[in-house]
Amino acid sequence: MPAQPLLNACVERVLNTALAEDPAASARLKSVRGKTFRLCIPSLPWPITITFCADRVMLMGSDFEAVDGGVSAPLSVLTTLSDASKVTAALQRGELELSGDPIFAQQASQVILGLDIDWEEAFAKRLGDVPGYWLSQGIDQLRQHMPNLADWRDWAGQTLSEEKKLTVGQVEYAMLQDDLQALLRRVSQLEAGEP
Amino acid sequence: MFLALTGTLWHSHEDSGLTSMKDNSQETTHFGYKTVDKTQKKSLVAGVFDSVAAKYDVMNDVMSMGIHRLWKRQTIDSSAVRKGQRVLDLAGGTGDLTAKFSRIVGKEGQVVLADINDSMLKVGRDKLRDMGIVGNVEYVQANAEELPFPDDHFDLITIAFGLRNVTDKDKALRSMLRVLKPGGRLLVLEFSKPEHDALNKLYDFYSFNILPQMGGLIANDKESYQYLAESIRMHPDQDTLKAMMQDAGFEQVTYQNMTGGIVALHRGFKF
Repeated sequence: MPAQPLLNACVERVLNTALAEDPAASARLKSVRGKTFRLCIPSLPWPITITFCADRVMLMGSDFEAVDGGVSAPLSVLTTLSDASKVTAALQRGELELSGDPIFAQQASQVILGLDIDWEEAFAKRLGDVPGYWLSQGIDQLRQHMPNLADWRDWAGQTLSEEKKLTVGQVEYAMLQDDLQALLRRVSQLEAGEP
Repeated sequence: MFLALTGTLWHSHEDSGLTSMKDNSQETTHFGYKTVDKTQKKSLVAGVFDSVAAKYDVMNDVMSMGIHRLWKRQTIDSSAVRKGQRVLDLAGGTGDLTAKFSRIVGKEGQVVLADINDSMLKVGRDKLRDMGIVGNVEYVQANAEELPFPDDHFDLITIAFGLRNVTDKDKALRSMLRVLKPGGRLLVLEFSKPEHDALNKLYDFYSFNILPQMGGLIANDKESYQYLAESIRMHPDQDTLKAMMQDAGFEQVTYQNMTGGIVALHRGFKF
């Protein structure tokens, strides 16, 4: 069984749990209900396809054809798109491709990016009031010590893109395996005293 | 789902290795590996499903180790279903696919959950209502061979783990073609033939030794799950089913093997 449906199921569960904790999520979902958005990031093995329902999202596989709109861009570019002025520049540079209604793309991104979760409430429901309070306070303190979120996103996007370039491809890996096998054969021959 | 029914269990297809049974198909039919009178069939099948309906979902998860959910995900992915469309989930059993289609088509669309078995339909209806899925789902007790719907009515028809139980599969496929809109698609998710011998042997061992034992332990019904294993072996393989769909009038028929061919998803269009 391919990994894609399994991973989609896990991500879908996490997203829907988060959306259920956000009281404003249903209002954001209302504007995109019944539509499907596809996000293509070249460094990912398959596109992310999200269908928006009344109170949840469904992650679809790459075979799903009924897509209403989408965005295609490298991760390093996507992290900059919260600044609307950079969208036009990215389009002009050819780094960003938009299909379908741009307003739909904006609304679709806001469903996820606009998540505003009352962590204290969410933890309290599952762990109890006191542990929930402590945990949410701990997260708040951690956030204060973390670098600016936009800077962190930029750094993460660029780092992932750069690391992707350095990753060994399948062909290179196969060549390395062949070389290693040849070397092992040669070592065996030498150990056996063969010329 | 695994035992979902859309009719009685006899299928008379030459290329599924049942040529010898065809001559007396007027009087007898298959119930797993057994040959029984056609008149007995309905009560036997009803007995199986009345027995398993309550534990149906639990058994599906246990038997397939949850993989049936991924097979169904792939079915949804291949559906291209949109908001406002009309979907028929045939042999829909306890409504796993219906639940997802209902959310996608929204209140402007409609999903019909059809099954010939009353017990399964009731379990499915209760389950979906408990999930809050109401408004755009209708429940119909129907035989796949004689679908009680107008011509060119549905944008999508799915039949998941049900076709192998239909008495006359060719007639059922023609009936599906009739109620499908031009441009619509049929998805058949069904057990099939594993692609590799080693997997086939392992699968046989699991099906005939472990599966009935699990059925006995969890659902207190060893015989029904013995029947499940036998009915899967009697079902046409991937290419045979593809040819049957083409013969019925479907176009651009393709199939996709999943889990090494244990399950196959066939897709065909009406133009």
